[in-house]
Amino acid sequence: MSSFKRRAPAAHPPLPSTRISAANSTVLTSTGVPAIDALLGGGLPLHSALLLHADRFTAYAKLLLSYYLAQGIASANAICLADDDPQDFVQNLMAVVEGKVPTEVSSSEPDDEADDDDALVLPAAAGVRQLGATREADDTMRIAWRYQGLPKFDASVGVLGRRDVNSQQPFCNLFDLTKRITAAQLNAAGPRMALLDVSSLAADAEANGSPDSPSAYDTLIKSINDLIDHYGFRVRPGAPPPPTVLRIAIHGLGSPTWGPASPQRLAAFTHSLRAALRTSYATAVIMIPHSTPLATATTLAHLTDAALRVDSFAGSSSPVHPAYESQYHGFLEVLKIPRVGCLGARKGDVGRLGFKVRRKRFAVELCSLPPEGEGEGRGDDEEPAAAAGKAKRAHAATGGGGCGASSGGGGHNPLDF
Amino acid sequence: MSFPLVDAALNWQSPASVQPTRGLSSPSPTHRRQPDAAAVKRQAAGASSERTVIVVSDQVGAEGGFVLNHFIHRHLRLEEQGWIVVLVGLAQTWEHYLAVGKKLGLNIALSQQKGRLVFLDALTHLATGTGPFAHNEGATSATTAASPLQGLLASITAAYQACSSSPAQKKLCLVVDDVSALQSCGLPTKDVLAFAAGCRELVYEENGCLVLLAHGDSVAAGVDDDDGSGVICRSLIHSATHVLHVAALESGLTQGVDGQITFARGPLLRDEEGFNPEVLHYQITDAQINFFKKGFSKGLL
Repeated sequence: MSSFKRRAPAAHPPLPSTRISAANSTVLTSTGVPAIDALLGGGLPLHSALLLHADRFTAYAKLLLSYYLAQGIASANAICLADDDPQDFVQNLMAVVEGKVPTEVSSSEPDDEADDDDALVLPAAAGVRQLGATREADDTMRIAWRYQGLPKFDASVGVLGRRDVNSQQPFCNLFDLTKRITAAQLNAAGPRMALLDVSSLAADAEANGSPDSPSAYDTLIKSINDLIDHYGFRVRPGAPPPPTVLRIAIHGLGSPTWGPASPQRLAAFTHSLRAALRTSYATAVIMIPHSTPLATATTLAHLTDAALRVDSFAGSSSPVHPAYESQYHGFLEVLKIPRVGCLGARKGDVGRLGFKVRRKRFAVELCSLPPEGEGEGRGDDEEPAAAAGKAKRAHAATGGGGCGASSGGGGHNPLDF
Repeated sequence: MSFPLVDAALNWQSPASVQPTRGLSSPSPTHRRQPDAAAVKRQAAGASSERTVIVVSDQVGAEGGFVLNHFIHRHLRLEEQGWIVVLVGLAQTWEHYLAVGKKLGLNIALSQQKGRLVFLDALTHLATGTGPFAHNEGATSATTAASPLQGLLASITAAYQACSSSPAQKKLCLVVDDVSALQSCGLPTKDVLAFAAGCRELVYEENGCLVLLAHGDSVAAGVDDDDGSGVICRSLIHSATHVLHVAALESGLTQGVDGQITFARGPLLRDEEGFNPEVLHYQITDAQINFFKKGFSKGLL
């Protein structure tokens, strides 16, 4: 008899819309953006908190927070949102594209026009592509045969979003930024949603007046703990896990509307939240405003499990290379990756990351400058195939993936967005 | 797993050389790759880790929590010498240390059952001041309840004294994961420093080894912090025998190297103890931690 045995099935069914990390066997949840999931090592692990440093003048970090919440609603998770106007925040979430998951950007639709195609007009787009097929065959770049089997260079991060075979719920959904979440979806998610209006908490705290009365932060952490206890998200030894996980989103921690806050109070709040997360089936995303002092932000980053900084070009105080500006909307910096219950290996390549927001995609790519002189020669789309190698290099650098000629319509300068 | 290169850098006897019976477990691959350097170091009169205070300073970009595993595991392996490990977790829960210990090949749950490891969960009790923070010794509670840190120190002492040890003489290895968290959460800086001094005193009494993790972002950057977050780290360094700075690579990012640890001499290290400052590079993978000498990374070679 073989000594190899099938591992006995887990005592409890896995939590829906979660995934077990193949690398370190932690339970992962999705942030709603496959690229961010990949940067964090597959997803945001259960019991951990992600800190988002907001960008200046723009709202890309808020967009990431919206993705996190929208993913929670799409996965039928329980949601707790702390914000100045949570009702407004939730109503303005993006719509989920039903029945589709983010897929790898194949060479048939590498550019952003294809990305912006609606599902309904896809057949037409396919037709266009067929028209250009002969051109495509001509333009296929010739490379030495020994390199043909090698994978194509791809600078983009984590565009894979597989549907998990053994669970009904996809790990990560596809969202459409041009549409808002429907009222029906919001109503359906209503019973699982807790909206905490922090400005009213702050007003209450101020009305109380006395220095001993609890501040908005104390009230907030208490209500989060009450939620966890009341709805059974607390980890109890021997007890089965709850039917779903809790997502805690905190928008604008420490903003002036939250009432007076010393760095110690913010840190104590974050530490208490960490303690609450470690003992419950929950994840959290905390967004701190751009005005947070650097020292406070550093302290908070130490007290959370992962930290991302979003820097948009629009709010950048220093000039940005025009080649970057034409390709990306800003830089994304991974300050810290989650290390909860694992050693936590750093994932991905070394280099600067840029992000761009498309209608259905929040793409993160390795930034690289195009070769010298590229981008100046506009209208070089009719260049012979001999130049395709150069175009390919330039395009691969922009992260479109795939050759210039296969970019759907043809006659498209890879740098011309 | 404990790491011969780290022991060599600290000029300590590696548990592998102390316990030749551990022949079954193969030496770590990093050790095998540079046998000469590690072996030569070990043959030089390796000191023991008794009466040492180690301060690990880290940064957001290069967390130092993984280094603590070395000290926990090293002292758990030195069972014959009567080491007892007390771990105070302010940053992580017991489950984390358990999972990481399993990855590195040591079942710390077993050590806990044997009474050689005590875990004090300070993370979930800090906000409420319960658990290890609420330790009071009889009637004196009303007067000494001034600081929850005094309660924590009393809990540490009590936990250590409750441990039995097979050799008559037992030694304490006290590991505090993240001292900075105490200060950043609003406890007065002087209380935190008094707590650290209390720990030091206890460790010197018991011929032990104290390992403290503190965040030194502003210390490494050399800037003056306005909120005093670097004060703890700076003050702790002043009363240490060894200082370990965990930082990102000074030459920038590289594939295959996550950061570097600088082993520096602390002010309390006696001159006659041989110690050479050294820099090791490290890489954290999902399965284990690799240490190597500068320039010996697989990613570079």
